[in-house]
Amino acid sequence: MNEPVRNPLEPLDPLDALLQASRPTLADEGFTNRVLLALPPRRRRVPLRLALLTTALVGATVLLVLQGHALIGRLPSLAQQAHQGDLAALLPLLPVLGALGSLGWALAAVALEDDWA
Amino acid sequence: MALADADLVARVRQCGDPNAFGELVRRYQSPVRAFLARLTRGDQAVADDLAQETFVRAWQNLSRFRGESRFSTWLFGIAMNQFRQRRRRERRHSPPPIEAAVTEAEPVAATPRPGVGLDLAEALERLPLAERAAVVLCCQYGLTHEEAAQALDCPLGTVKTNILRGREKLRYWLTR
Repeated sequence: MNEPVRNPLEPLDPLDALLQASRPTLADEGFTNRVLLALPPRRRRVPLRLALLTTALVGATVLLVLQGHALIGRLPSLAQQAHQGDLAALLPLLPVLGALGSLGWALAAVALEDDWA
Repeated sequence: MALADADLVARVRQCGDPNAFGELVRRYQSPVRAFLARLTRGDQAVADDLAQETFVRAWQNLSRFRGESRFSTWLFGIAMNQFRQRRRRERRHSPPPIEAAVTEAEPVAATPRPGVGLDLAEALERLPLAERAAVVLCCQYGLTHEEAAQALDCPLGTVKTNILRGREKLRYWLTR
């Protein structure tokens, strides 16, 4: 432990001197070992970020499976409608694109993350 | 060369190294146990139980220690909380007699008889808890007033007042 901060030129107050001199030093006597034996396994804190990424990953996968399969068959007709200027026809693609974006974001974040503790 | 506290803390946080934590316990077991013994008025067995619980809590919550204060300050804060929790538990399980409940939260040591000098340990035991804790942390263990305020979770002004009052009483009791 640090000594109390004081001006070295200033004489130590007798009470402070007494308090410091009477600072007990307790021998370990197995205390540290008892503490180490009592330690529970360390909880690895699951950060909010990890929870969000996992949710995004699961959500994107589910959306891809549900929407993507149905849309694959309709892609040629949607492309044709878009080509004819009917951009509203592309709206069904938005969830899939969103899902793909989430998936990419989650994967990139996982790849760049270096400390999950 | 001995590693700094911050390095040991980093090792524990990164890979849960129990040896690094063991070194921290070895470094601080004496001040934490002695501080708690002062709070429990010399009951070393209870103080050691509380100290063990303090280090276990530190191990569990090390990820919350951001290094903005000294490790020892953080540890004294946990020790103080453990002591307070124990007192609350004890009060719940054994309600104090009515006359004690209406006077003061902490049992107050008897006023020293005039003309009877006390030794330091006795005098410290007679101080109210808040004054005792502040005096011990600042005057014995070298915490600054700011650090003590953080460890005791009370305003800086309160710590300064408690130290002033505590020292005045100690001086009075020790020199009679």
